[in-house]
Amino acid sequence: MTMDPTTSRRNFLKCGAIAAAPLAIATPAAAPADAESRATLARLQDEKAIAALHREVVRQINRGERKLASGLTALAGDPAHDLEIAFAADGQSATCRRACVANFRTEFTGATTLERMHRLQGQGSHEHAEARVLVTEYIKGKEGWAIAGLGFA
Amino acid sequence: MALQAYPDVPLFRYPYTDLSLAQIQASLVGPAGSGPAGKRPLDNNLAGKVLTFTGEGGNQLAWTFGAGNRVRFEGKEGGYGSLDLDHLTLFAHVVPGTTKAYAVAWDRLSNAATVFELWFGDGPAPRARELNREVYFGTVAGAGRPKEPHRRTLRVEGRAFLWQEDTGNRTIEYYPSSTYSHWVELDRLKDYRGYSAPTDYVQLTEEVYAVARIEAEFSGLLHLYLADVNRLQQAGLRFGLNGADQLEFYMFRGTGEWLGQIARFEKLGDFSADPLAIPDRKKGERRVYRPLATMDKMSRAEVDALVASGNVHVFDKPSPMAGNGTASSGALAGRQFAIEYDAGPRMEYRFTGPETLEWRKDAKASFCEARYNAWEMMPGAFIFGHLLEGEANHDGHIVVADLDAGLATNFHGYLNTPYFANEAGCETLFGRIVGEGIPNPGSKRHQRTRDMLGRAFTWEYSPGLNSMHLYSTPYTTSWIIPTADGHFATEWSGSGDFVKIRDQLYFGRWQEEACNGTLGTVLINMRTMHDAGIGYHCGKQGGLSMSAVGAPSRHAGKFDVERFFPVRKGK
Repeated sequence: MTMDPTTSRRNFLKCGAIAAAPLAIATPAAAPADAESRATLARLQDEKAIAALHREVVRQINRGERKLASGLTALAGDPAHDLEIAFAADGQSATCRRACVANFRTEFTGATTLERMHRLQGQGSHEHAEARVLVTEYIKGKEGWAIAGLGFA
Repeated sequence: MALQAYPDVPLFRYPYTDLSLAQIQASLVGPAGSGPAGKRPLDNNLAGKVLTFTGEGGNQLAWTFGAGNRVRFEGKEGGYGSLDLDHLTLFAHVVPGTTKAYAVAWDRLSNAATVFELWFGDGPAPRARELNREVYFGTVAGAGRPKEPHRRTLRVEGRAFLWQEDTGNRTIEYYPSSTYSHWVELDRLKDYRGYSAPTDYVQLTEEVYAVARIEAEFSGLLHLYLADVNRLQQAGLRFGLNGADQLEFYMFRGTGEWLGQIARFEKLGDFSADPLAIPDRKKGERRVYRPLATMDKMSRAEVDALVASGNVHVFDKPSPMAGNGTASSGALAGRQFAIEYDAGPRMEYRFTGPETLEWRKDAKASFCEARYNAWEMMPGAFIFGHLLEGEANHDGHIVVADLDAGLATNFHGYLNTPYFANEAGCETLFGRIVGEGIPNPGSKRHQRTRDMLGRAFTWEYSPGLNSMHLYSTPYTTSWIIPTADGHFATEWSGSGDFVKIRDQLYFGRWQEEACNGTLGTVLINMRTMHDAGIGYHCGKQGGLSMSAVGAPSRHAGKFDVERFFPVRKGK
């Protein structure tokens, strides 16, 4: 799948702003500009739909409705990073990357000596957080955008 | 087996008699009247004193000392013994007509005191011969008032001393934990092995500590002493039943030698010292590791049936012991060579893929397929392992092959030991590698090393699953489990062996004998401070398995103990 490398949200908005500037002074080119505006609007709508879907996917993971990784107990977007969306050239699919904080719980239920000794000490499980990147694949169908796959990078 | 006070077999192999409480009580009658013995005269200088102890919980105990070594306690008169260590006194006695005894550390200047109440039977120890203890901190009535009460401490964690008693016995005492200790008797026991046992550490003064270990899982004896770690002086008590079921009740003086200090891993400023506290615990209760009780014990027929059923797992699933392990290597794929071990066997290998090989032993049969994993820990130096399907003892070979030197060492694991069929035995085989492009080392072989002796390494296997190894003797690997906040606590130990592969590259092993039965192996790279290894195990839950071991490491330090041990020989 070929991805447009300029379509992360920030880059897209920046490009959109640059493209919009000539509109005010270049009326003879109105027809192409309209087409571009429609495309821009469509892309913004796609982004909005994917972002909403992405939030719902994360909620589903946290409710346990989607299995992402063994031992994962909670997933939260890292507020220091935006959702990065890369659309396929045909605009019909997209790959999203989101830096996250993933919380895991490991149960030491095995028969190894170390696990037995950890249990003796009251350390039968362990919780820890990791910085991970959630990668989700979306496809556009008749009903709109839908998730096609997800996993950690 | 004839009874032996200090067995000539490993303590975990010795069948300590399951004595009844009545038998123990009978053995206490004489000592209760006479008090503890001593190689040299005890101080026994408390005549005329009445010591009233008030514990922090308000409990009161009172001793009235008479002439000679007489003491009256709870209305019963018996014999006591006492030793002074500067301004501290340790006294001990058995309460006549009971299975109860006391050992008391009293600071005569401050009147701070620590009372060890000791008793046989009625638990929480599972066998009557294993002494129970409860520790009380408080004060003795008198003019002096303690500024600081005695407290459990981690101040001695990480240290080791050689203590030589006036009995002539020398013991290396490692304190790598704040709840356990590890000791090596150099005289009464003959095999230079270390053992681990639950231990109380109490700080009495800036320089003097009370150390009390109960040899749980073995004889059940108490070894308690006040240790002046600055002046390297010791005054102590040994109390309990030895391997010949003879009551030992004597006090001793000793001198010490500082053997070093390894790192502690608590957060700086954390001096808390009771990391395994049990909420609402019963009197005497503490967390004691009892590996034999929890170990799967299988017969040879059960092991054979387990293997025949296909409950065999060779590197077929993630191992919690290698969550942070070194990445495996496929670099042996396509190689062919033979390893000729001194005195056999000769193993021929065709590495048909990154995780598949064919082996043939002593050219006796056609090649057998096996799954393996390999790790290249230094360029040209690999560790790999595989099972030898069809061998009567379900053998596993865990091999370090240095293809640049033409040398190989094999920790040959096997089942069907005389003790438990599912317990791994091990022998160390040295040999040379024969193959295209591999140099002929002639008579040169890998050698056992003392470079590891006295060292301690932490291992971070997976999040939340950590340990520290202490290579306490040429024959012993001990492992200690940390708490989440960095206190090292529960400890156990088994047979070990250590081979130098290259500078800063060492091949080590441990056997969990009478304790889960695993053979663990590690190839330690002290340059990268990472290891790769293989566990070989047979149990009801996991079947017969080979699995990865691997973790980043920290070098916690090295004790100066080499001079106490002879050079190891044999397999």
